[in-house]
Amino acid sequence: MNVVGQVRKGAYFDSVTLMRVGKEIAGLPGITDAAVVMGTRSNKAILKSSGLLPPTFNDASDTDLLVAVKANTETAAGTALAAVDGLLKKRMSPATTGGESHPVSLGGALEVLPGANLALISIAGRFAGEEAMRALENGLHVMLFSDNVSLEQEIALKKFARKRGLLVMGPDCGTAIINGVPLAFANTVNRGNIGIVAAAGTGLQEVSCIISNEGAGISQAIGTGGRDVKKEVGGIMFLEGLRALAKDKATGVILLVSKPPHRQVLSRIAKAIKRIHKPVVTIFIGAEAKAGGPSTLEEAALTAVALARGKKPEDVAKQLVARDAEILRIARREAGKRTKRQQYVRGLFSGGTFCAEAQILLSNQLSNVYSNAPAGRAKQLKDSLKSQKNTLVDLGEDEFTVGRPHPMIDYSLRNRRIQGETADAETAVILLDVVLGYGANPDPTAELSGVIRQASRTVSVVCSITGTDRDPQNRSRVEAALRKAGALVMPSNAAACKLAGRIIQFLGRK
Amino acid sequence: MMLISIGDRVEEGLYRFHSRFNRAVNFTQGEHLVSVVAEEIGDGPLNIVMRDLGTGQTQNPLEIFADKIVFEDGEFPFTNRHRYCSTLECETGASPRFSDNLSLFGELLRTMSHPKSLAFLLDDQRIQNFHSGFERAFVEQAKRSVNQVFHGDRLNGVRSLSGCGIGLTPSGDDFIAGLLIGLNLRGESFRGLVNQVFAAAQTKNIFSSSFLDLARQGLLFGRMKDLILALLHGGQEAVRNSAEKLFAVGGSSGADLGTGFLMTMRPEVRVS
Repeated sequence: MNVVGQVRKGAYFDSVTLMRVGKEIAGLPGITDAAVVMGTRSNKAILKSSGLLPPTFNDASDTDLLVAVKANTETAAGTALAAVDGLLKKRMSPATTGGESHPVSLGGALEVLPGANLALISIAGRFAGEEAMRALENGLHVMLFSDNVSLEQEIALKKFARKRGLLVMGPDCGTAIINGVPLAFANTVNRGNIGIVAAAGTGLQEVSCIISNEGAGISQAIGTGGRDVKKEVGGIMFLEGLRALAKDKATGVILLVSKPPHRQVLSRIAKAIKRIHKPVVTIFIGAEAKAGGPSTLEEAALTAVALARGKKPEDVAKQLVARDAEILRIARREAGKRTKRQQYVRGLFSGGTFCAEAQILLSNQLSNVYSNAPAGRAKQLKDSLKSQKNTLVDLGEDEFTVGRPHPMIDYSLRNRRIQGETADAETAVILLDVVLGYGANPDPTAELSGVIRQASRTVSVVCSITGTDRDPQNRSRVEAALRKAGALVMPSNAAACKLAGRIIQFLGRK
Repeated sequence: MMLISIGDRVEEGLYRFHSRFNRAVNFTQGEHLVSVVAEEIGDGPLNIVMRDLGTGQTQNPLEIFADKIVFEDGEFPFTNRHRYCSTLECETGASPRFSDNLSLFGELLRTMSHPKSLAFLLDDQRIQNFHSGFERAFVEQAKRSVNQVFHGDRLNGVRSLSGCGIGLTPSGDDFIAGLLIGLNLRGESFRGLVNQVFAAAQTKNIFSSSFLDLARQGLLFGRMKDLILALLHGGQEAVRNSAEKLFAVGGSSGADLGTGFLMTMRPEVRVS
């Protein structure tokens, strides 16, 4: 490692500039660590303990600015130091700068970016509603990532927004893609002519990724938050999103994703669809699919792609029948590897929508399906920490996330559970979802490979991956690594569930 | 340009140009620092607030008279009406709201302050915002020093916290300023400790030293004064608004100052 430094005698820059420059230097190629700090005794001690203290710093004083760089090569270190002058001179220019700033209020944020038309709000729920109202009053659309916003506040916000022609995505809205920009937990997908309205976050991620991986693309993906389609909220934003996509010239096909809306809301949605002169595909996970309509997120996404390409939805069914034959072949092979005692599937999900979809699909294939968040015919688990027969656990439920990051980010809880389920002699299949994209765990391979390698010695590990090759984690790379570790990687949650169910069915026939 | 306010500790004299930032131009006379600042920075005991402060490049001196200043070749008259008063006479024990408001302020520090601020001392989860080797070593040193300040050899803790961290006024100095403001607010019995802490935190950095000296004297810049008034007499909305404004000071400076202040105001902190 090359550690070099620069002492800038009596150089004064404001704190924001120093923080920005420190961050920009650290991000230069070949740089492993950097610091831009005043040359105080304490800072020199910290630099020393972090291996960033070149001998030239020994004589520096409180009034000197120190620039320390640790680099892989001498050239990279030299280039970084040479860049310091330019970086220090570069002033923050509101709304045009690529540098990062940290406004701490909506007013401050609007000063930095006066042309903004959307506010993403992610603060403690008790404050979030009020902040969202301020944003709406300033004419901004709102994505409300925060949860714990009261129902009354949600309704008030959405009614206010509707009057002003604005969207309120949320509360508890984890995903949206607006004008090609992924917001919060979202993926880097192709742009195209399929517009999505979703009251199911991971559902939106799944369909947008499948569409993109099929070579089609997304015009807009509007999240609404799961509560929007309940009776009390009445689907205000789901309907507004639908109207917006109906008017949007760049949208040729509309895809609606949700858990089953309340029947009154469903009836409003049905009426709204009738007035739209564009193809509309719906997937309400767990609701009775209309005859010939899609029954999984995957089928819905593929149907939207077919329609966007001017093909018939029936073509999708043919495509999936061929894939199901392959699933049967793999299931038979896997079942042959398991012992007689192994007879159950244990699904450990980070995405709530995936867990719900798994329950619906597996309840059609198997009996005795249990969950901590039951959907369809699944039964309530007595203890969320203890599996019963075929168990599907939503690890994103509040009972698991209080005081710790979401399981899409922090895999530690799920990894421990994988080990526990593997040790259970009755487990035949471990079913997992792996969600990529912004906000998700940056290196799922490193976190999962070890536990999957160990688990796959005694059980079948079936995974779906939600993501694209343009996501920061790169879907193909993650898929190759998980396969190498021993996982059976399927292209969708629905396909993974079908495979898991088939393996258990074959074991039942043994 | 238009003069909006002038701090109550700005004295007459000729000041030499020292440095220029995005929204401030700094001048010195010996060890005495005066800053001409934009409105977004706001009032302070040693601030002259100007509307439409430009991004000029001149390094002309600043002249301050009894009734006008001469800055960048322009004359700007002022009267007593323009003087900002940086002192605050109050007693926290007399306010029924103070304790609840202080808890709210703590929550705001944990949830809304700059990710790299010392608010990690209130919430371990925020340590994940510190990534580089330097930042991680800084976190460890700050934790050790602050622990000493409140539970060990207090002055030794102050000495190792002084000058510690990122920023023109390093985070540790901002924290100590918050500590001094808090101790002053807690009353006369803490006066001796205020002087000891100030002596232990001596630095040659003129910005830190000026800031600490003002805090030692209980002189407050506008945003801190507003926060204290909101904590004493305001509702939740007032606390929230003034906290937001404080957090907008410097990179993490406002939040660092706020963390030092909050930790000092906890009732378990004693003189000895």
